[in-house]
Amino acid sequence: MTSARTRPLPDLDDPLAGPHWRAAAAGRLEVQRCPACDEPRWPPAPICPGCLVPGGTWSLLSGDGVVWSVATYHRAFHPGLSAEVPYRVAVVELAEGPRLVTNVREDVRAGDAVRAVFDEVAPGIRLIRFERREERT
Amino acid sequence: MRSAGQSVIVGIGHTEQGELPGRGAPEIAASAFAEALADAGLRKSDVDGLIACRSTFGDAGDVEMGALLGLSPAYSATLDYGSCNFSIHLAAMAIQAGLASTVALTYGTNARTGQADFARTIGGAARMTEPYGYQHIAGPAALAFARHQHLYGTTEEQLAHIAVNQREYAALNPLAVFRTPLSVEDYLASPYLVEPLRRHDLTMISDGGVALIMTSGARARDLARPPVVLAGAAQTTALREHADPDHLLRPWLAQVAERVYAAAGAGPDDIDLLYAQDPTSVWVLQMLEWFGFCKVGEGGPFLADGHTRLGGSIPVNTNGGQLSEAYMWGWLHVVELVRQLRGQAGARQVRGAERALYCSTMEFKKGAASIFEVAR
Repeated sequence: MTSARTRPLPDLDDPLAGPHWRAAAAGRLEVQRCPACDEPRWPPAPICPGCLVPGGTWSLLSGDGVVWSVATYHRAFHPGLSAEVPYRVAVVELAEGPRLVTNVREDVRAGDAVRAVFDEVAPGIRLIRFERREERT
Repeated sequence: MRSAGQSVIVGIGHTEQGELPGRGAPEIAASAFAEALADAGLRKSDVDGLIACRSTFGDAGDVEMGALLGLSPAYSATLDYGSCNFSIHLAAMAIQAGLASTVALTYGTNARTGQADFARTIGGAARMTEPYGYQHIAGPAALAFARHQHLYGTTEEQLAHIAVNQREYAALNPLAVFRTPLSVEDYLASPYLVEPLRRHDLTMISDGGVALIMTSGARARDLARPPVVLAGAAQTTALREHADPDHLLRPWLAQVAERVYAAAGAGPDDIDLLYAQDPTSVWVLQMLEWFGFCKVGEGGPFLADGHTRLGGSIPVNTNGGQLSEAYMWGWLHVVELVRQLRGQAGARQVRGAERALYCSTMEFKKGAASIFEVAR
């Protein structure tokens, strides 16, 4: 939990999502993969919504993706974010399939190729944001 | 005319909208109930069913409402989530199953004076997205519209017509909170809230209450008001949320459309009035397309051509909707469609309207639709 004045932060000790945030703090983008069907799972869940097998193996993704859509917040709906407006929220479709709600550092548009970057927002806590990348050929 | 096997709306009631300081949600819902009962020409002793929709703060459920209204109904239930469709469908099921014959549906809220916080993070994956500042319904709606722009070239000026047209209707509706004229130029000159959306694309939290009385077609024959028949109903759930491709565009609304048209034996061409629940203008754009009033992707030009205005091919949200009338989880859309089908809508009456479609959603989790017809 964060107070009203501090910016919202992820919980690195969250039983379900903690591994994702701890990996992010170390500069890696990880999501669960189903131990049975190998499907990458996002958001985290205790069982595979496809084949219902419990558990998930935290797996490294490439961090490459394409912007699905992007919007710019000109108003902070959380008091802890008032110093950050305007900021951009995007949905990024990762190369491996999952779509993340995230931030983009620069003025990107839907369809632009992006890659993950890791921004420290509090001591030992990093968010996974995205910046433009040159499309590989 | 179909009637005996159908459920019908026979009474509508509502409070003033906007700010009702010092009144709790149950009390607000109760005054709407008294109005609906009088409108139906029924006595309290005729009511043997109660479907209560909880307020924003979680009160005004069936147990609390039953005690306040002095009812001991044969059947009662509480719904935790908004959108009047869900309450209507549950009432129809209770009537058709023989659990109750005349059902009161209630909703009241004091969300505005109670200062409800709608800045919460949207969606089941909230704890994953809150650190990125993804809050308030404006966020997903802005992302959905920006995607629509990317795919189809839809412009902000085209989107403006939703807020502008609804304001035009609201100017003819004494109940509406926002009645000041709004032009496309005014809209475009106003600042972004979550770009590409502006304040006019979002509802304003309101206090107020609405109640409906539903009964069977057979019982309705004895009542004074022309019965408004529930001709078809459909729902869907879309619980995979973020895991679903394109979930913000809500393509699953097409399934609701297919089912509700099949249930009513009608299609988009047979609908005279559309009520699209509108916490954001973007939902209206999506519903126009998924419910087949124009092709998917052509909502922008369709709006700009004036089809949804008074005198257009499909008048939409003739009460002003939640963008201009009041945020009542769609309940006032139903009050309006009943008035229109009865021919009681005054200056905003759509001549000869016989069939209305009301579609609604609960965030990205549920969709529902009802088609209503009036027997003339």
